[in-house]
Amino acid sequence: MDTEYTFYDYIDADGDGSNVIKSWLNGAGKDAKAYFTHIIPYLESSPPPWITKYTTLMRGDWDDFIELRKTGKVQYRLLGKMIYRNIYLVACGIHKDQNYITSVTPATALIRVSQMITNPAKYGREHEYN
Amino acid sequence: MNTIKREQIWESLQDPDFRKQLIDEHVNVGIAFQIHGLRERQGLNQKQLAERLGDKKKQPLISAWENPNYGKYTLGTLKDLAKAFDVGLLVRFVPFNTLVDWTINLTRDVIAPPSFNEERIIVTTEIGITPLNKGVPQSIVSFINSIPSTPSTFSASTIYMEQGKEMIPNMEKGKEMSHAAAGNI
Repeated sequence: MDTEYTFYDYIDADGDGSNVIKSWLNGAGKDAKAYFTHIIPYLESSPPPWITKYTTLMRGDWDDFIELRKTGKVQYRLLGKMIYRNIYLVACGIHKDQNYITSVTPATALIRVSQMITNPAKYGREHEYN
Repeated sequence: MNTIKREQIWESLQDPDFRKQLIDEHVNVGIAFQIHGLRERQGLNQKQLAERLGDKKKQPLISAWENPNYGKYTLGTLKDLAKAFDVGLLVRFVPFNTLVDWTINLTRDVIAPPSFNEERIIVTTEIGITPLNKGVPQSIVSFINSIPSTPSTFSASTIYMEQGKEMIPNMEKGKEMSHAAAGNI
């Protein structure tokens, strides 16, 4: 069944070929993985317009990226760019004790987005849940 | 694609700790989206929903309820919301496969189901029911129309029109009714 939106994970095709989003989620807390296992399908299936309250539009260093956030003692974040109805997830992060730590820099994240758009078969895959 | 998603989630379910968290997030995320979706579908702002709940002071709570990180719903709240939206509510224990099915088969109508009045209109449109059949629940219609065609079976509209019966809310009664109608040929 076609969804309203589609989430894609970045594949480190020039590195070890792994799905960086999936790898990070498998190393994060089980609550974070369970949360994103649900929120992504709900966001994909919700009819337009995009429900802005469930994601954060970033400004500053991560300008124009959107962030999905699981709150708790440690806040888990997925970062991506939305282009039309595709969301390209390219980075992960945590927010703990006032520190915001991301897996890559904004500049690298932008490069990843560009790779996913120009060469989707190599650098992208529909979000994986395992 | 849904098969792949199912396999992936099922693979993750092998971890008992993940299963426990999945139970929490299935409810937390699902209810938040459903409340928001139902409110939007019915064209209500948060103030109007609070009024339907009979307490304008609940408006800030509605914002919290629509947060997928909230997670503190009570059964009483869910029942009140279902009544306010005029939709059904199911609270039951199920196999994990049912949770997986729900998650991978989401649609806008699943997230924000039609209210009873909308449901009645859908039923009327789908099988061309006459005013006699108004109020036939979709579950009854679907069940009766799923019975294989034989000389002894009737469509829901035939049954209700011939017998002029009121809406029968119980599926078993509907089944008995179709057999009784068959016996009257």
